[in-house]
Amino acid sequence: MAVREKEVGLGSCVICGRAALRAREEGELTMLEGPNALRLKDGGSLCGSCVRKLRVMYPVQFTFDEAKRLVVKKDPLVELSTEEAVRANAEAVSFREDMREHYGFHNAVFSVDAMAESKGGFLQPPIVTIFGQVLYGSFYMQDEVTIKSGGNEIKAAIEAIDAYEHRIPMDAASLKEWIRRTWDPGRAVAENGYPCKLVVLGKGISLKPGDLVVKD
Amino acid sequence: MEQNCCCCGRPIPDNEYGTVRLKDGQLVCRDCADKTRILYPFRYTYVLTKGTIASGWTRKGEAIYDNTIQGQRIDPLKEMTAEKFRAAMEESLKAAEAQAALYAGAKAVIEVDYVRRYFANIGTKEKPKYSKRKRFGVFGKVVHGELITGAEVVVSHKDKEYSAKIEELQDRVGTYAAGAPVGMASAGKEVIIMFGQGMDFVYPGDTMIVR
Repeated sequence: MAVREKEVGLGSCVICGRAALRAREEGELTMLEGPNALRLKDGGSLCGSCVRKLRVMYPVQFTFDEAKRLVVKKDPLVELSTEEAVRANAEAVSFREDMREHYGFHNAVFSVDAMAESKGGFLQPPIVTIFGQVLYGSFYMQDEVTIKSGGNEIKAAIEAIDAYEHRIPMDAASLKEWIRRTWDPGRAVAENGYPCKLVVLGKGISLKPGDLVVKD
Repeated sequence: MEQNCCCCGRPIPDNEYGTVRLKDGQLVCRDCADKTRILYPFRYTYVLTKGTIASGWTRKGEAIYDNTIQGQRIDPLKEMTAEKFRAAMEESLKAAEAQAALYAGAKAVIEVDYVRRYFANIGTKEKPKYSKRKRFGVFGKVVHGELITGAEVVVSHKDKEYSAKIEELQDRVGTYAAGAPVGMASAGKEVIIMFGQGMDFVYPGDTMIVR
């Protein structure tokens, strides 16, 4: 019997022409790297690479439900038409350069939404979980960052990065578990436009909404 | 049996990597195929296909295969005849000339898709300890020229120009992030460019230039 092969996904990207693939909850597609492809307002598709480019201009807007679980309130990219997406693609790089200039040419900037502190264990510094959204650039594990709050600057290293699905701080046991189960920490990346949580170790870190975590 | 390339006439050794068999059975050598990638790049996608491992057996003892989703690289050149390929070659050479005029003075130009950091586990599986050595992979597409290992790339931003030396080039053989090391990548190819230094100054959509 002849084997029928059928391409899965959302067709071709309207900007670059590559296959627009979407990750699925189960099956092999969960291994797909990067953000999902998405369908535009007028039926066109954007591939994951182009979504990454445009996300700096159109970050995901989120809110919290009654159980304090994060809910994506609005994805502005879905509301674009093909023409608007193509125009935005031409402007994305200059938009990001203006943003870099606005934030003093740091390599990556994270805007703080909330923070929580938990005990780090015997003779260990407290574990600080910082909730928020990446404005531009990417954060990885072991990155040396500067936490800017009220005129103070604190240097710290990122111990873990996790999805901001629930406003639960990471404690010592869950941090240890995160490091054990993350077989490839390179996949745990905080990318621009997406809400996430950064975990750092340090004493005396006090952050308010709107404070920044920057990387040089 | 050795065959000649239908475009340049070069004898092609058996099992040469990158050789393409056209729809009419003729062979195209790696060099000629690479020249056309600027207009006819590979398409990386997922296809729903018949699985290779039997999921059960019928009463007669025949194997039953379920449908699975697999990553696949589709080559548009395989759908061409030799005549159509020669026309595609002419078109591609013209496109390459136009790109050369656009990026005058540049040996190669890469459009960045995204950047990823790699970590090496120097501990055990139970107690992982990650190396602090910086190793970054830049996923991108060569839009002009030929990219070689050891070349120095320049990224221009509003504040200054950043530069880095390519440690290794990897071919993107599928939709997953695994690739085989290659010495050179020509226009139209998607590559993973490995660097042994921090590449935090490279963002999706950036253009990297080799001068």
